[in-house]
Order: sequence, then C-alpha cells, then structure tokens
Amino acid sequence: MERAKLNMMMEAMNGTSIRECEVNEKSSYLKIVRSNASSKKVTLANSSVDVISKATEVEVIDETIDITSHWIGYFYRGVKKADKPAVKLRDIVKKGDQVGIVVTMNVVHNIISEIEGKLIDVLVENGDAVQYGQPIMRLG
Amino acid sequence: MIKKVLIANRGEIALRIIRACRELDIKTVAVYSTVDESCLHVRFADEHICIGPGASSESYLDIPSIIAAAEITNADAIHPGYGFLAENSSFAEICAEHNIKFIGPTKEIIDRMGDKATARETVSAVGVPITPGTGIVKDAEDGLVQAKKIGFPVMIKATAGGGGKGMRIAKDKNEFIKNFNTASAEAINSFNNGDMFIEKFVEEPRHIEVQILADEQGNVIHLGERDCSIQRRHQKLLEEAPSPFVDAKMRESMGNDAVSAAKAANYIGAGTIEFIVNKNKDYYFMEMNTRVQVEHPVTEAVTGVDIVKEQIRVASGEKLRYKQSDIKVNGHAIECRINAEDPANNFIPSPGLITGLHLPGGFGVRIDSHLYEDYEIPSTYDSLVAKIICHGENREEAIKRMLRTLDEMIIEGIDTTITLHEMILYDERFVKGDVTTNFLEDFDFGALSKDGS
Repeated sequence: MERAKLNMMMEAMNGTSIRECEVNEKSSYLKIVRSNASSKKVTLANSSVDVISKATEVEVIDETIDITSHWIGYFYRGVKKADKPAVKLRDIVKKGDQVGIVVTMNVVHNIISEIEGKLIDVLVENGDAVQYGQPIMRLG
Repeated sequence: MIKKVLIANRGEIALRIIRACRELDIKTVAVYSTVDESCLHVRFADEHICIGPGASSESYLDIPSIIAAAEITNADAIHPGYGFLAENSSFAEICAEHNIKFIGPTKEIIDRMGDKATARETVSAVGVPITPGTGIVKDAEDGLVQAKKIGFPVMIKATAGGGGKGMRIAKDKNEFIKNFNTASAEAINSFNNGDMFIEKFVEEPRHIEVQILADEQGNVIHLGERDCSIQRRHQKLLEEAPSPFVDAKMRESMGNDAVSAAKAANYIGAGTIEFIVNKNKDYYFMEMNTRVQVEHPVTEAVTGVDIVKEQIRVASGEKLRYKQSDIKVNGHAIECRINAEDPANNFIPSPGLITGLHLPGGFGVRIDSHLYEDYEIPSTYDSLVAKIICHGENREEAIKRMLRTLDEMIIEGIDTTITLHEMILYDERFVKGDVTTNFLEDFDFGALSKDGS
C-alpha cells in the first residue's frame, strides 16, 4: 500500500468511533485497532517490508512501566481496606514497596511492586475489581 | 433461574455453554489464561476475566482464581464443562460454600460415582450388571490371589483412574505383579491415589454409554445410547448414536439400568453411564461420568434435546421438561473429533497458526469449534479443535454426509485427524458396524500420507 493512501485512511478515521479496520490487499494485510481517542495502535502482518518500515513511524512508543495485579479481586490503595493510600502520585516507588491490596473472598493479597519509578498514574479506582495481569499503577 | 454463568473452561465447550446461555437469556462470564486472550469464548461472553498464566494449574485449575472471578462478576453459577475441574468434588463443594451454583452434581455424588470401586458397589446394589471383579485390593499379592479366582485375562484398574491412566491388562499370572505395580505407581502420580481393583477383562469389547438427565425432584430419564468404540489408547475419536450393535431389547434394558444407576446415586444433572459390552451382547457397568461429555451432540442430534440447556435448567431447580415417553430416537448421528495432531506421526500434537480455514455446512451438519482464521492454537492445552456432527435419516446417510463434510473441511497450517476419520469411515468393518475398542490397534496409520489431505 502506498504511504499516501495509508495516511489518507488514517486521517479519514480520525475522530470517528472506528475501533478496528482491516484492509486486505494482494501483498499486504493491515489491521488498525483504536481503543480510545488518545491512544493509537497500528499492527501489520503478512505485509511487505516496505509497508512495515513506514507503519512503525505511526506507532506510539510507551516508555512507562506498569505494576500489574497477580490476583483477581477488589483493589484498594491502602495497606488495609480503609487505610489512606500507601503511595501517592509523584512518590518514588521502590522494588519491594507495598502499593496496595487486592481482596478476594475476604482474603487480603498485598501488591508489592517488582519495579522502580515515580508514580505517574493510578489506573484503577479504590474498590474496583481487577483481574490477573491488569495494570494497576503506572511508573515513569 | 440462574442469572449469570461463569464458564470455567475454554475452547469449543466454553462456546457451546455460552450459546446455550444466550438462548436462555443468561449472562455469561468467560475466564481465560494469558495465552487464551484471543480465544472466541473470550469474545462471545458478556464479560471476561483473565485468571492467570498459561499453565492450567495456575489458571483453569486454580480454584481460588475462578471463585474470585465469580465474586467480582457476581456470577451466581459456574459451568465446569468437561475436563479441568468438571469432576473435582472439592470444587463443587467450594462453589456451594460461596453460594455459587455448581452446574453439575454435588460433592457427595461426585465422590460416590467418581471413585470407581464405590460406584460399582452403588450400582450393583440395584441390580445393574458389573464385570466380575473385586473391591479395593490390599496390594499386588492380594490382587494376584483374587485375579486367579476371577480367571485371566484381567484388567487392573485404579479407582481414581481415567483416560486409560492407572490401567493395565494382565494376560496371565506371570505378568500380574509387574503390571499391577506399574498401574498403581501411575495412579499415585496422576491422581494421588494408588487404590486398585481387579476386573475380568472383556474380550472384543465395545464401549457403549447411555446419556441420562436427572432433576432435583427425583425424575430421571435416559436419552439412549452412544457407541464410542472407536478409540485410540482409551481416547475416543469417533462416536455415534444409536449404536449399530444394540437391538431394541438391549436398548431398553441398558436404558433402564442406566436410570436405575443414576437413581441409586441420587444423581442430579446430566451424566453418562458407561458400559462395556462383549460379543454376546452382555453389558457391564464400567463407570459414570458426572459431567457433560465431549460427544453429547450426537445424542442431541437424534433426540432433539439440548443437553446443556437442560443441565442449566435443572441446576436452576426446574423440573425436567421431558418424560421418558417423550424421548424418541430419530435417524442416526456421527461425531468426528478433529484434533490438532499428526496421526501419521504417532499423533504428536500439532499446535500453531491457522493460516486457512473453511468450515463446511449444509443439511444435517453441525460444527462445534473455536477455530477461526489466524487463530493460533497454543501448545498448552487439549488438542481438540473441532467436532463435526452429521445427522442422517439412517447410518448409511450419516456416513455419506460425514464423508462429504470432511472432504469440504479445510484447516491449513496444522496437522489434523481429518484424513484418519475418512479412512475409518471407508473401512469395511466400520461400515458394517463391526467394531470393537481394538479397531485402531491394527490400523495402518502409515497409509496416512500428508499429500492427500
């Protein structure tokens, strides 16, 4: 696919609610998945090298790192359910720091950070349900 | 009525349960491991929860994670499907403790019927024939004494066994001790239970089973039999209903005995009574499966009863909607299990990317499958990728229909058992209905050339 054509399509989709767009051509297959207005993800498969190299220019590169949950249950930011948050925005989180808890069937699991960095975003609300592998906090 | 069902399974059976729930206006929750994110059951359920990494022990077999997923989604019932936790009595008990309806029998029933020696005692007490055999034997020496009384050849079986594990034949007294110890060690490894019993070995055996449905009000019906004699190492490959070997008198007798066995166990839900049948049409109770089975669709095809929906209705406390006299067997159905395996190469698993896919259709054809083009079959789980069920006016038509369906089926990127099924369906012995569970033992798998498929 030509670069101009690709750009035209990308532009045409801007501001729309399209979540997925797949284009199949003789030598290329393009799939665009957009989950919300601020983040774009473009993936290409089975396409020519030429298209891949051009497409990588539009990929959003994420340099942050997330603390994920190992448990399924309800997330709380304190060390206990009713406590104030264990860590606040802009705090430096170190490896081994407890950043919250996940409660399942009245069993409390501590969320211990395995990574280090400054807390730049809390991705789930206090009391929200979380699943295995779900990002909970973003460190920058 | 149950409002939201969490499906503690994956693959085609998870889809099968989601379909039943949707038709009953019941919400569904899919659970999945990190390698199953792109699975169809995740896409088609109303909600989905990731419960752990790829290893089954940390996801689909991890009871706390599954219960937690039910808790955060407010699911009021769990359907276990088959395999994984389907016959795990502790899981049924834990569900009950958390006020979650386990769609299946209670812990007590699973324990009673899941333990083969106890199950034999239970059904034998109400007059259901069992193979001459023993209760749990103390050790190999005790087993040998009892085996001599029964008469060789004998089958050495683990009470907790299944899928051929913990099971050995002993043709004579010389190989008894060695085979007993091997089977027992295998049972300890696989089931953490080395209790063994001895049974008379049935020669030229056929595997014929009867589907039953039971409600909480004490009504039990059977839906006729399935012939599952086409097996490889105790894994079923092709099933059909009705059995070409069973006549009307035998059918009635087996059906009645299956109902008696289920009643003796105070059974609730969908279950299967498995019989082993010898060449003289004597049949003996083998075991009960306390869950929905892979091959349930052949029974659905010939009876018109949606077994999974009935299972859910019964679990909701509803009375069975059918009486025994309502059940009529109509025509003939065959199911072929399409596995991602290479039959020409000792059935080694063949996971991988599906690069091309065409699922056939047409009159009398049903396909239960979680495949789609570009889906990558993980190497982590069971190799079953599709079930083809063909229903015809009679057996001959069902065979013809299955052959044309297999011919239309295209799965590219992996090896499958499609060609093997074609060979079975063309085999003269199969066409005549003259098959035993030894059918595949002398089968020429070398003739399965990849070029032809």
